[in-house]
Amino acid sequence: MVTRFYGTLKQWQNLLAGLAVLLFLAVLFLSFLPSYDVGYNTLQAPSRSHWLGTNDIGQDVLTGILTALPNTVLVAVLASLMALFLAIVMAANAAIAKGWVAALILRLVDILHIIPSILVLLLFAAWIQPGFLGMILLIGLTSWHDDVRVLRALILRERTRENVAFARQMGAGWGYCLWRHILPSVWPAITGLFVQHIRQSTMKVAGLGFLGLTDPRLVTWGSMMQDALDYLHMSAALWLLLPPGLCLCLFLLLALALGRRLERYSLAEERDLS
Amino acid sequence: MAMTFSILKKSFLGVGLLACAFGVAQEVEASERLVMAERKGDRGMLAPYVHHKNGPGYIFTSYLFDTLIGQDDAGKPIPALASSWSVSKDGLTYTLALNEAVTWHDGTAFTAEDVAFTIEYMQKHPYSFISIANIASYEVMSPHKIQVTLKKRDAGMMTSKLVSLPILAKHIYETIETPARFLETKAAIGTGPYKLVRYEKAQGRYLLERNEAYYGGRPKYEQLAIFKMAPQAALKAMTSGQVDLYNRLPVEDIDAAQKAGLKVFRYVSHHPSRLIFNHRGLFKDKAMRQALAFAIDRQALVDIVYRGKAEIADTGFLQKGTAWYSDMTLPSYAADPAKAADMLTQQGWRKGDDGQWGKAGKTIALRFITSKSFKKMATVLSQQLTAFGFAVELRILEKAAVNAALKKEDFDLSLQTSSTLGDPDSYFHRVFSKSPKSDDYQGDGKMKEMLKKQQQATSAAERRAIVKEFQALYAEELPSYMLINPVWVVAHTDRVQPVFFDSGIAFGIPMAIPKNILMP
Amino acid sequence: MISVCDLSLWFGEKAILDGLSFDVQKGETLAIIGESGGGKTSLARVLLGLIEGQYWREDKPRPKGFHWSGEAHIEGVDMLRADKADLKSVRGSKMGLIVQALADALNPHLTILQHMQEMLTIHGMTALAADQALLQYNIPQALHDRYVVGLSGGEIQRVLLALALIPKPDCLILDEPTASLDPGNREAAIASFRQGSQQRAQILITHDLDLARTLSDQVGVLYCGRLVEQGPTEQLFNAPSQNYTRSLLKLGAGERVLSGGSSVPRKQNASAVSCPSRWKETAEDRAGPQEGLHVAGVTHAIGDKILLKAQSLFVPAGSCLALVGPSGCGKSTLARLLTGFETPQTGRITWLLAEEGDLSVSGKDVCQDRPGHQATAALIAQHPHRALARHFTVAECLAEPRRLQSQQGGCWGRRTALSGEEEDVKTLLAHVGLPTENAFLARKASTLSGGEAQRLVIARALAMHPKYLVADEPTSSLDMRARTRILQVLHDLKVHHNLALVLLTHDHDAAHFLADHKKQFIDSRLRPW
Repeated sequence: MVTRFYGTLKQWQNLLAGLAVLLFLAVLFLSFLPSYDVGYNTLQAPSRSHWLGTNDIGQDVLTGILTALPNTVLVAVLASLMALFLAIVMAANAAIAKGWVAALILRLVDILHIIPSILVLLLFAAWIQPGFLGMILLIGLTSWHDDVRVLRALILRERTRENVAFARQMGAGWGYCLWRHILPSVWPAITGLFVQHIRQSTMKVAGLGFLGLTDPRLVTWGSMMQDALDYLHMSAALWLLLPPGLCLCLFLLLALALGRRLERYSLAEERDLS
Repeated sequence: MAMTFSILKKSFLGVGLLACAFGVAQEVEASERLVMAERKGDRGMLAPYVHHKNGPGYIFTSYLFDTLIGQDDAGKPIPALASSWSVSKDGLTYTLALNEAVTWHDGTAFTAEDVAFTIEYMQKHPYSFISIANIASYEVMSPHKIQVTLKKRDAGMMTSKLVSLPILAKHIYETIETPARFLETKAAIGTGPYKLVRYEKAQGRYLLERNEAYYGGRPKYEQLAIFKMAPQAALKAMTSGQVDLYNRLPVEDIDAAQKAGLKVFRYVSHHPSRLIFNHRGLFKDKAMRQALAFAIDRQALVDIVYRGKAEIADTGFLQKGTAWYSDMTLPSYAADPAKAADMLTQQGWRKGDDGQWGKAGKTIALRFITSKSFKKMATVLSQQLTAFGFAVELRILEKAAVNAALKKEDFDLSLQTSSTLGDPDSYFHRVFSKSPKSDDYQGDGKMKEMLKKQQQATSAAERRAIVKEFQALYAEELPSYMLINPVWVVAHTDRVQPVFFDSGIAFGIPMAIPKNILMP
Repeated sequence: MISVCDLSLWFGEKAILDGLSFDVQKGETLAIIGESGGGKTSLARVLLGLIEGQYWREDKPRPKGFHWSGEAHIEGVDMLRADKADLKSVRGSKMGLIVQALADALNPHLTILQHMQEMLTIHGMTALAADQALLQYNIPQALHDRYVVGLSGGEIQRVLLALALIPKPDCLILDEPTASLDPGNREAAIASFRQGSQQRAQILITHDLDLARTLSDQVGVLYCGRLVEQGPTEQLFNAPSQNYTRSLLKLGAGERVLSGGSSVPRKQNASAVSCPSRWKETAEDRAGPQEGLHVAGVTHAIGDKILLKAQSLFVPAGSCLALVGPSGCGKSTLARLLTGFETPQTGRITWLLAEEGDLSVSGKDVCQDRPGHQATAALIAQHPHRALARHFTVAECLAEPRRLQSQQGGCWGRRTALSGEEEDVKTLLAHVGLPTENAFLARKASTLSGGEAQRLVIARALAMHPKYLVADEPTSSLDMRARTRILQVLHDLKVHHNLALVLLTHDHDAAHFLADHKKQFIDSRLRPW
């Protein structure tokens, strides 16, 4: 038992392991995925050879949905991770550093709060037409400030506890205190924020795709819906618009359910602790 | 989804608003009114300097502004503001007798002073579509007679310049310093068959009324309304008789239109899509351009992107069935990957271990930049090129960004589309100029010489012979590779009959709605 | 009124409360007494609907988490089956709760006055001025604009009291309401519980038997989730019928002599412990002038309030000095000064060594707060749970000081166990009388009872091999039995580890039990007592 020290940081390990698995699966998945080729069978209704039909240049809709899956989900997850990481770094600095560093961070957050981030997002997206990485960076960089204040309050509360003071007195650096004492105890909040971020980022990815502000070569569920709009009055809309729309809804519901479950889990854990 | 509904709503609202928008129009008998709709809206104020710089902008303005020489129902020159004209032997002096019955929309008499003023004014404030820099001098010989002298012979003076040049009213424009900002209704006072009543910029709506004093006879409709509408909504409105003509119905909707009992006027537009090369980059040599042409399957483009409803374009710039086209056998560059590979190899290209083409062991990626309207075609093309073994770096950008990239020559391939109709004069602009829609081709200068020579031609036959040479050379040199010649469609009712000129409207606009259709 | 019938609470298979029934009429106060772990706090929480779980009917399979059965009506609402909205309205308007004074119960971003204003607004009591309301509950003007961080435990308790009582609830649940109050404030608090108690039904949950006796009309004794005895207060106190009640009353009767039945393992032989006077002699015998904590001319102020004015004292190794003072006099700050968490504005605090000069604890001349520093002082704080990371296991809590001391400069800490760590941990646990089984080592700090947690804090302090301990109200949040154990442990340490001990408390009994010398802390001076 004693050799398994600092097992409290298992959450981080779990998260990283989960992410690695996700990335691995994504790569595996992409390498087995047939390419999203154009073909002569344009606007075909769903059939045995094309389960979800084809679009206006003969691309298989099912292949499109699967190709778009990582472009939507993985982008959202990584962007959320990035935003959260930035938020934690900033919040920790704002909570621990005194004087101008904290003031600078808080003013920066204030300023970012005043500017509607969705406008910034749209503006930059229209300008650079982000691809996979661009989208992660853009969404990550435009959403981190939302969490800084709440995380800072949590970190402040934890940092005034005597266990932190004790560790400090024993010569521990702030990095140690943050990593071993503070973050593990605000972990439930962090997971909650993460899931919430995933939902918002997914909506943003889909929204940008739908508005045609992403790299047009990047297939996302949003961009598939956008492409389907030309055929709204035709029966083709059924298999062009519905599948990406449903996938999006499904994923958002999934994230919601996951969030609920995590919330319940961490509540239960907290209850066990108290 | 919200956006979808709002689009739908807008289209339906469009129909509903028809009556309200043109309250005046309601008083007019439906039989006296023509309603024209088109897919895209707002062509700008209908006056020479302020209409939008595209075909429809020019055509709608031409309903209000007559030119010295008009076009008959076949597109051939006929008298208009000028009732007769003669050209001196050296081809430099044009003497025009003006129609004395012409008045401006405000009742002022039209005289040779107006023509003289227009020449002077347009030399000071160039009009985007027609350059009259070649006019050396003019002389008003009498109130209705004017003589114009050119600097050098111009075989296309009549068919390209005088047919297209709108004549401005001196009493309106002489006080205007910056015509590009002159947006009052007064700016639209011309000599044409219709007068502007109202222009609503936000909705792109126009209401025109008959010019009762028109010198060319009484125009057919008392009122003419033009506005924007989505195709589906327009088809509904046309079945219920609210709209009479819809310009450029998408080819997918032909069946629906015919089912609804509407007439469909379809024509090959001769407004082909073409593949533009960067002539100062990888595609400097004609062999490279030809190799690329052989790597492309144009039939697949027709089948996939246009679902068979288009034609493969002729490679010699001019398209079959147009006024200046000479029938001859031109290389068609039918898809032939083996030949393309051969030619590339001769140019020093090799396929690397990764199966991608490159030089000196390094893969060379083709920077393929185009605007969103070409997304489908670019996707299919880049897939063909990729399959052939090219590394393709496709970027689909906003039009402005594409133009910027073209200007910086930060590309290898691009897609453009423009008309191939009109007087051979217009080829200068479309092949050699720096405009983003041009091939920006210089080559060894031979082709440009040819075009200069045809300007000096003394007879139409001589001109035609030179244009034929140009056609052959173009197909050989490939300043750009003509891909697809799309079919354009006008849906209409019995009340109006579209007309298509094989030389296009004025300087070559490939549309079937010249002002002739508004006359009896 | 509160009416509870056959209330049971389980967590999984484990029964926490077992078939409780009682009624509290308006104007009545029921005291629930018993030791920690008897289910007192669970009772309060289930009555308030604060436990996340579900109602369980016996014909259904048993759920995994918390579940309960029975009936508990408060003002006509069945708290066990009511939906969230009903619970909220009952909690908001009809019911008040006073818990142990923990800073966590207040919002750190609001001042005291803002708390009051917020509460008044929520209850629509706009007629009452917030500052007047505070004064009414003995909270002086000077505190109104302070944040929670700036308050002592007693002051926090008074604020919580005021917030709970001003809306005049029909039912009031008091969960150890006076645990961190000094005698003066305790009297005031008891008076305010009495005031208006005729208009409400009160449940008092406490281990403080005196308090239970003073306040209640009825007493229930809770042991292992059951009400083992229940009856009118005087009757129960005078003639308890159950063995457990008797032993509980005996503990609470102020018996300071530790009975042989105490479960604390001691290396000391029983005869040495039995007589407090002998401890004093031993301490004095040893009190040579050689080693000890030396405080020289320390002056310290927080804002305008002067806490200490040019005070000096000396605590020799192996002896205990008790500093007794009322709540809010600056005890906690003094504790932080003495342990080097804060630096005094003037003066020096040093550990005098016999031979090679002094170790500076807290002074401007020597930089002492750097990694690898051998700590001289250790602080034992009032609320042990706040001094432990919730998510650490017992073993991690104890291993941390050694790891921090052994690592040089790395800021993320070591992951691997040091050699001999497990043995060290077990030795430390044995010193403070905690179990040394692996199952206990793996328990999360937050699952420990108050007494266990406080002993763990002491064990952790020992891991640093300190020269002296500063204990700031170490027993105030603990029940009687736990308190006795802690005092015993501290005493053992003083004697066997030759530690100097500074005890800051308002608990005269504790001071009397432990201290060799006592001083009173009044008006920023330390006066002999």
